[in-house]
Amino acid sequence: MPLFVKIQSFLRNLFSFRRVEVDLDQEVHSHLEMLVEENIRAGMSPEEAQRAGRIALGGIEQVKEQVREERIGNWLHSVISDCRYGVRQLRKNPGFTAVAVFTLALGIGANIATFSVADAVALRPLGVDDADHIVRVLNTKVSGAYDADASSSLAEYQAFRAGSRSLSGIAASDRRSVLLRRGEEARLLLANVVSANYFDVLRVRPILGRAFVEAEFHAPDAPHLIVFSYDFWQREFNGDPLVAGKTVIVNQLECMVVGILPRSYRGTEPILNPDVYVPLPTWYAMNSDERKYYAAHDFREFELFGELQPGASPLQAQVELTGIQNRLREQFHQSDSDRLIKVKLDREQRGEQMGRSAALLFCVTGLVLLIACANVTNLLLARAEARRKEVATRLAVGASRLRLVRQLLTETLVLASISALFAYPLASWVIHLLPSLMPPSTFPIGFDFRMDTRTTAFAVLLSLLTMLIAGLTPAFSSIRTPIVAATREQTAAGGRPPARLKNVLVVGEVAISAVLLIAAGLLIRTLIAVRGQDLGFDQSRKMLLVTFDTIGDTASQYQAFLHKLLERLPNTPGVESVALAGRIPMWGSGGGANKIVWVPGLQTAPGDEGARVGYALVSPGYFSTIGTRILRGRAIDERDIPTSPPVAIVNENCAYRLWPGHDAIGQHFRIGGSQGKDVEVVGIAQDGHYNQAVEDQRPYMFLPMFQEATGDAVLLIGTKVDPRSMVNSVRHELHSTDPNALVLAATTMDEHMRYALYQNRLLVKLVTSVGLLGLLLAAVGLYGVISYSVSRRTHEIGIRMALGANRRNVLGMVLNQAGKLVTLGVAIGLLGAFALTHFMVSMLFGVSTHDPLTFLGVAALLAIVALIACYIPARRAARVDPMVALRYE
Amino acid sequence: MLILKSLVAGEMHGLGVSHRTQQITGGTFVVKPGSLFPALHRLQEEGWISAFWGDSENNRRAKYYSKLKPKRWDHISWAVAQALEAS
Repeated sequence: MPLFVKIQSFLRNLFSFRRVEVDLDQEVHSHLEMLVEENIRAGMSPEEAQRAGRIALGGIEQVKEQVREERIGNWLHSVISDCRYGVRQLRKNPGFTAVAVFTLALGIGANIATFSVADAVALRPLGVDDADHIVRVLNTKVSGAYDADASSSLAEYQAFRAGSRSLSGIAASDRRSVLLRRGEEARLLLANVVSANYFDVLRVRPILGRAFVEAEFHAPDAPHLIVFSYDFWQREFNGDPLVAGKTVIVNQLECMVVGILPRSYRGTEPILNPDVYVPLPTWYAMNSDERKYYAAHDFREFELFGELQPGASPLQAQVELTGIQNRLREQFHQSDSDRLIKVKLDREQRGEQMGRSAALLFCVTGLVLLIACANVTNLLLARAEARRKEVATRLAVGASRLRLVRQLLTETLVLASISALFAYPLASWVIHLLPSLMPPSTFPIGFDFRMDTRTTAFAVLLSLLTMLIAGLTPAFSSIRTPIVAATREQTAAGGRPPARLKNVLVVGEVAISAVLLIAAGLLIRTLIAVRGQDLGFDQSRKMLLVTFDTIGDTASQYQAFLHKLLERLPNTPGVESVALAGRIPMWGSGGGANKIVWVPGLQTAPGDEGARVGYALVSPGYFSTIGTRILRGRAIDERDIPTSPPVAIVNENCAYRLWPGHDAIGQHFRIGGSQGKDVEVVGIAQDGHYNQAVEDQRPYMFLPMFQEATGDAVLLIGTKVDPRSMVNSVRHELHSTDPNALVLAATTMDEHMRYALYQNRLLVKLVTSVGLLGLLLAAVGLYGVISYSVSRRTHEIGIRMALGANRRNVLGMVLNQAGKLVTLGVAIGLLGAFALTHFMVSMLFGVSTHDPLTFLGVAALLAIVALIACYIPARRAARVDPMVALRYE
Repeated sequence: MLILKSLVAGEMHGLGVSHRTQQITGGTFVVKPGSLFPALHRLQEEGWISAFWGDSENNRRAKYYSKLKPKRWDHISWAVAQALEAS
């Protein structure tokens, strides 16, 4: 009850402030009048009575103020009035406000954008109701980082599900692709093939229709069901609500779309938002062979997600599942004994994925905010000097120092909040710019960058932090003013002590921006080195890379189609050469497959019967089309048909590893182990990069496409003209060769390489822009400090000039002062960078962490920018008219 | 405490409370308006007493205070009296 009354009083004080005030005023006045009346009754004259009454009351305003201080919610009132006062102060100094807000908005905006990126990449939890109880079951190989994935086989999944007590449910998911037929066209969709209980375990409720449930697949004639993601539904069907319940043709199977997922659910990987979810039974109906593949014990393709039972810990689940896996291994006499089960909370796993790039970006933008704060601190310090008299007066009439600090901090907070308001649209603009930096892609690759409540919360936090960083020093330094000295002081001579602090801040700013620019410089040099390196193929060739599908063709029809393509396409006008390959370099499909290669007497890793060698199946003409040099021997050509002896081309690295000190040509090896197929090496190709732009040399081989079971292939078309212009004639040619053939995607080599280098480019772009932002802010800070010091020294400069100093002397004097600060800042920055860049070593390529060119270049750049920033105020100083200056103040 | 005690007699305006407290303590305790009004307002805000505008003895508008919850107040008054006696 008392609480209720208090709240009532609080609200009354807050919202009917005026009425409460009037009430108080009347009350005090009526009190006074009654006192006066009493005095008159006691025999005083009216004047005397009035006087005595006032003395007894002790001052109307004082009494009122004392009552106010007792009021509930008084603190809020004082905060509000501080804010009002802060806003008034800011409006009174528009120049100061504009510079401070501009600076802070850039700093805060950069940080909000970075947070949004990090949030999209790693921090944002899984888009489900109860993300805290979702764990990932990681099934990793103990030895060898080669097999970096953590997937499980179907058998393992089923055993885990049947045996686990600490997980109330386990869902499995595998990323595949499917073809959706829409009239004459087809779309290649990113599909998640999932266990039927997937949506039960993750508790995702569709916004339209329903999710599939396990029970409905038990019947032999179970329906074929799929679920679309929100984004795909919007993109492909324009959000048509009638899609739920419709029948569509996916991989030639009629399936019913039972539901549309909510927008917040974007699958379990931040970068890939699957278009469609296909339950396993429906997947088997689409392709009966899949049942056989998934049944294999070493076919580990499923990512597993579990829901913890209330009270169970991930460790409990881990112990339990490890036991289940051990039993399974004994039961099937599996040889791969070196696998390890880990159970981790999904949100922890996400945090680990954030990676060094995002961490670097966070550091970099954080440093920019520091520079911005230093600038604002400097501005506040300058203003604090101008306000010394005001502060001293307030202290003299009895304001408490703490109250003053609070008020000054409130002003800074107002400043930071206004800046955050400007920063928010800035960040949102940057965020919406980001997807355009993404390469074009058939698949819905891309993060969900967005501004939401999480970014808003971050912005609020950041404003508070900014207030503390930028406002604390000026606030405390201004109340340290000795009252007497400050009130008496004439404005001109004051302000010596904070000058040193300002210099320190500017030196710090220059040092920080030096570090930022060096980080950016090293990344730029890396990108140049990556672009310039020999990747083992010709990345500048005019070429079209085409993926296609022939729905409904039998294996032999497909083979015939490939042969026909190789015959017919070279006759198309504009085409120079044509080849097929199972996979091409930098295909972005992860590591690429390996084959076990057995050579007598070869040292291998324990448990492996031979060396693991990456490979690509290629058609005749591949090497000349893509521009990979054959160093010795021959390339794969028309001789290599299914009936001819199996051959292979190996790269230099492979030749050296398998037959050190011998000529590899003419040597034989076996594929798949000592009992495998015998293959002769007929040529040696140059080394190259096969998966990523930056990778170590590794053994690789090329096998004739038509001697192996042919799967999907990429068509490589070297062109004489702009490859983009060839897309339609190629599409036509494919279709006329086989009516079933559909082009899924056609990209140029140029686009392909841009995609391959996407990460490097993005990092360079972001870090460089942030580095330049830091430089700009540091220059603004430097300019501010120098011009402030010039304006304070106008009087002194006037005397110097009156005594015979010429303009050159004055210019030199100012630049000398600035030069000292900049030199010191750059020196500290270079030393700092020298110490810090080794954290970046994993991101660099072809450049040392202490690259002298970058270090010297950054020093020179900073010197030039600093010179420009200081020259303007220095020139102003040199133009001072001695007569005017002497009269100044 | 004194203020509440003085309100036991009935509703009173500020000046009345001031006189009454003086009276109770035998003139040793003079409550100045600078402490009287803040105290009255706080008691009101916390729900110990209520206030209303009324006419004074001389037909002048004045703000009157009265204690709100007799039971609760008596209880505390008794407890404090016990405590004071014990000391």
